Amino acid sequence: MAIRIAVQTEDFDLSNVHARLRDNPRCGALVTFTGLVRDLPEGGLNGLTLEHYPGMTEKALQRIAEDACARWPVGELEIIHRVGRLGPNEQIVLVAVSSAHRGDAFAAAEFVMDYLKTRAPFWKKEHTTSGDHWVEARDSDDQAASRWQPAKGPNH
Amino acid sequence: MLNVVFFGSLRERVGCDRIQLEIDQPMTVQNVIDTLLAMSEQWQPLVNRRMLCAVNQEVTNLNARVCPEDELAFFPPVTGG
Repeated sequence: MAIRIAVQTEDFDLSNVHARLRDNPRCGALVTFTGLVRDLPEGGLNGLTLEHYPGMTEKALQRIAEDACARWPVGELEIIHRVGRLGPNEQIVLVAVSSAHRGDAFAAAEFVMDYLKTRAPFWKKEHTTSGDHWVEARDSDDQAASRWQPAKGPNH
Repeated sequence: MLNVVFFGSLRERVGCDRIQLEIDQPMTVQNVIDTLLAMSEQWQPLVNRRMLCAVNQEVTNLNARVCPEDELAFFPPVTGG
């Protein structure tokens, strides 16, 4: 099991991560999720600024990754999260998980995203044609994370 | 010195991203808030039911103790991903 965490301003290339994680003969499944900057329902988004808590962010992501690896038999797990100013449709976050079988890889990737959205210290500010607004936390994200509690590990 | 840091919308509401607070003995996070409120109205945004806090980069609650040299962070609910 190997974990790689990166918090960076630069963009990332999914094909590089994919190539690195598929290089494991014991893993028959590789799931990747990419989160993108999405326009508002009414339009008018010029971009986002992502603020974070340097130091705590990396620790929080590492812990989430370790929790996922404790619940499912993960081969490799990589999280890349960008910070700073991002334009429309840019990539924000990548979660990639390899495992022997797809069920565990899908579950671990979804768990990481659900926990990341409610536990990792990032804050989004939207820049719109009508001004700048901090994004409010959503109850639906808390509900998504809470369905993983208590520890649910089909193979442990 | 206690290092106190602020993030996100809370950072903007209090108008700064960090302060150093002279404390000579351990106290609770709530004591720190009360101390700040007694100093200035600037810190009123800390009184918010949804606000979160972390001591030395671990999320905790208002009853947690902080010591001189600790890092205490205040921030709103997170919105990454």
